[in-house]
Amino acid sequence: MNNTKKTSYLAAAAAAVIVIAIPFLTPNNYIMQIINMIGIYIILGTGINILTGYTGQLSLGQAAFFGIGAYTAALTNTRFGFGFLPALVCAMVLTGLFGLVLAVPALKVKGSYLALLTMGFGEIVRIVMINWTPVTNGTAGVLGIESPKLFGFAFDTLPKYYFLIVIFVAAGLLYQNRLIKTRTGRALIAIREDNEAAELTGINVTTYKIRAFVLSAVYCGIAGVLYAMMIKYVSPDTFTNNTSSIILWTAIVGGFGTILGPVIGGIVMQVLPEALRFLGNWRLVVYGVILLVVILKFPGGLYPYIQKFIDRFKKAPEPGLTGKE
Amino acid sequence: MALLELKNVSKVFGGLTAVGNLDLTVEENQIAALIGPNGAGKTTVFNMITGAYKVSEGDITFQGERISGLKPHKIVEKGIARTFQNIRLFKKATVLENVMTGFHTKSSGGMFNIIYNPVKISREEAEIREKSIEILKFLHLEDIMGLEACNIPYGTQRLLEIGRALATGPKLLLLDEPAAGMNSTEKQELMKTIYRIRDKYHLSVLLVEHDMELVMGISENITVVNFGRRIANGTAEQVQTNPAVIEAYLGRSEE
Repeated sequence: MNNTKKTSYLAAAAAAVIVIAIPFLTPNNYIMQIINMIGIYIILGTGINILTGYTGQLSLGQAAFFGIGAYTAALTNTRFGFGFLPALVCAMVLTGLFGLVLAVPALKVKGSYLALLTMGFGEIVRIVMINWTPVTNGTAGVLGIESPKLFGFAFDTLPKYYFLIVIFVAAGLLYQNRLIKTRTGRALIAIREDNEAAELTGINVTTYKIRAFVLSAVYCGIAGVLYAMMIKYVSPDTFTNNTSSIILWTAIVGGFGTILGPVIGGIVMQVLPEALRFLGNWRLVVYGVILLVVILKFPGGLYPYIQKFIDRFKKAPEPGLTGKE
Repeated sequence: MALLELKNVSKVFGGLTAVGNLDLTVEENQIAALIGPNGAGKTTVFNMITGAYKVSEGDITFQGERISGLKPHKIVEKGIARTFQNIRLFKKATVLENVMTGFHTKSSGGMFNIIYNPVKISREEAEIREKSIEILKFLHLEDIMGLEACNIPYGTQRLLEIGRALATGPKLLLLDEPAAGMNSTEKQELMKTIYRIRDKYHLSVLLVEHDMELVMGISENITVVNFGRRIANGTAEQVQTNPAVIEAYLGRSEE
């Protein structure tokens, strides 16, 4: 026990060193931006992981919340001069409210119908972004978003911005970890495993499903703010069904219902298309084929396999406490 | 005052009366059984007690308080827990996590207090864990607590379901065919376990069971239903000699 604890502290320390070293080892802004996008997708992936991975509610409309977060930041910043923190709070509240709005009809359906409902929600939000021109500036999008400043420190370059993203990725993962390993997480997993048995174990299934929708929306909202203030421009083309799919895939490829799955998924889903650029027009074909192979060869996502691989180098676990302990 | 009291309870599906004018009482610290031929409405009664079905007519009271009309999770909070005929565990969660989930109504961890009150929640979690392990030890399941629930043997899964139900801190435990698929030795074991549970947790048990060996061996009060109506009530001996019961189970001689 002591030894495994030591190893995990060492692993955490090593991970921290690598995370801090990354921007200093990155040769150019192109790669830095990809790395920052990985961070944003880890947050998006964590959000859908809570809703779909742990609670079992399939969502194909996550890009809508991502978009609402991004537009909230863009508009509060450019119109009212809101700084990073006030914009973030607005985005979190607004996406949370929209999560609540979506949860109400979503409670009445499940499975494929829930997928259709969430996809429809995503489309509605995108269409509103395009057509509500006086507010959203339509297809032209919103330009001129300022770099965030926190306590006098400006995150005005991509390497600096990286650290801002790291803070939110770390906070998002830690919160997810704490949530899943306590009462709320057990309730969410119970709902995923058996709705009725959960209710008859004393869990108010309705309110916990709503909580999952709201939380997952807020995660997307935070990612949206980080995205808008990094790219400094938002337009409806970013928040399409395709983006919703990539968010879903991030969690699937990494491993639904695992704490660190979204990290693996975020890396794979962002790095792969860039690494395949040399293939020219065949890039997306190969990308698709690789993803298909991944889900066929690694059902349940990559993370559980990586975990198993690492466990081989660790000592045999205590009897009776194998499995998830 | 009876712990659980069903007064004149009916359940109508469309035009079909599944349960009609049923009276049923379970006393404190009593092991009671509800029996009847297939389709007699036993599971419907369970579903009404737990709130899964709305009562069409009549009242259900628990510890003197009307519970018919409450939501299922509220009824669990009041102190009624159940197991299922076709085992319904949280399959991908571990044995320990299944029992820990049962402590839901007795704990306070939420979305926000895990941030602003981490010490309290950590303490609460440790307590839940300890109490869950205690239940697992009581059921002799502590050796497998790290396994996923879907990977443990069938009979053990039934026991784990009871463990999860006990975690909710019930005053009344509803067991839906706990002996299904068990052999004679396992049934004897189960009987002992039910007695032990009653004595340790000071609760009442209401069984729905087809297995007469178990029902007659353990129940202090038996209610027999047929076509949704009560046809007999009493001790094992009284019920076994009741002509209406014999007729329901064996049919009537034509001569």
